[in-house]
Amino acid sequence: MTGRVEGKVAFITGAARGLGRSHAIRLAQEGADIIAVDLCQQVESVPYPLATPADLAQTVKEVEALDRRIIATQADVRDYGALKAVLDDGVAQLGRLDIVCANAGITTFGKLDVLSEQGWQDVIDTNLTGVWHAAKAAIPHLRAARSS
Amino acid sequence: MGRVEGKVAFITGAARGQGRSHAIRLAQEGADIIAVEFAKQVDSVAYPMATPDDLAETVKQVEALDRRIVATQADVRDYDALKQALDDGVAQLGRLDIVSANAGINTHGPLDELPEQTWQDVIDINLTGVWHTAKAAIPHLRADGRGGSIILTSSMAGLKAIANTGHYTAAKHGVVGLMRTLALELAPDFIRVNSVHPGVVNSPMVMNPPTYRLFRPDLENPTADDMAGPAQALHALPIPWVEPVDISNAVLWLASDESRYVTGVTLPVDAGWFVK
Repeated sequence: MTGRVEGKVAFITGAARGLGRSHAIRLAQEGADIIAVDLCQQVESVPYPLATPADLAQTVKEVEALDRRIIATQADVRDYGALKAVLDDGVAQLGRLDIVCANAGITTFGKLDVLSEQGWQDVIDTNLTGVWHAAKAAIPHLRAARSS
Repeated sequence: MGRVEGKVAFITGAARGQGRSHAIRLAQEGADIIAVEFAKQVDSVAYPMATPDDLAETVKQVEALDRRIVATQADVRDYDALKQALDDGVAQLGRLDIVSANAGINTHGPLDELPEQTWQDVIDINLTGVWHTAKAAIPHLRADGRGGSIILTSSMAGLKAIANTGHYTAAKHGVVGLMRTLALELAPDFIRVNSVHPGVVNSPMVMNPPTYRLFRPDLENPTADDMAGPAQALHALPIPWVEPVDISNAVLWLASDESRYVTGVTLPVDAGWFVK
């Protein structure tokens, strides 16, 4: 039976665990190959443990168990150059890009009059600028796929 | 008796355009003003930004109304400098009642080509700068228990997408999230928080060749007149743009006790752009 995204390639940020891992598995179940990214390091302003390299390795294992290919790399969505290099490399290996899931995100807490500069900046940089970076890096590949 | 008689208003981006108009309109109705302006160029911005002379002109016009004004050059991206300017102003004028987080820049480009710096400057000034403005003001608004009114300047781009301004649209949508959260957090102290959403405004941030070209990519050197047609086509009311004072009148109403139970509202002043 043909999967609902059979033969497509999906780029997923924050793919080591949680929603991101689930997206990777669900898309793989329906026939997609995966380009997975996760920071796999702690951000100091975040009050809970962030994902680890072992988490990302678990995502790889679960996607490969579905007989799909996955390229998984540690990269920071705040660093456009690094994110783009990872995606370009993944597309080079998997041959195309069809789906982008800009999922990486953090949450910190505090009322707006006492929130620290770093607590604000980390969220804006990761949850807003990081989402733009994922889209910006992907758009040329998506345009290339349409014209090919 | 003015509609904001005896109150003190903090206005960012007050050297010209909407900010100067807000300062004058609030002063006409009896408020003293704490004015802040960067008064330098930001490199990614393609039109000339306000100068110290512009800020001096705002001072002159407010003083001509027999109101006091404390004007300082400060960058909304620099929280400590902004806080210092506001703290000094409150020390001199004795209180704070009204905040107009108005400072903003405008640059253009499709999201897949936008340089990092162009994105970052708009996010830092139009979103983080607005948070800085509110954060610096809240202790003063709370201090005397009278409550207060914070008005965040968003945009039509805070309510709908405008192509070729994705970073600006993201920042202005972010301002709405900030406004709504502040409205919730500050309501127990009777501090109201609302946003205004200007459409096309006849101000220096809009009336410049880069914006004319955005509206008229078909022309080599378009003018304001060339932009009028496509600008008017955005609106329901048959006008190409509104004047800064039209935004100021909305800010004045939100600043005054006439709107004493209005908080958490997104108020368009857009000639019907949003409904069209």
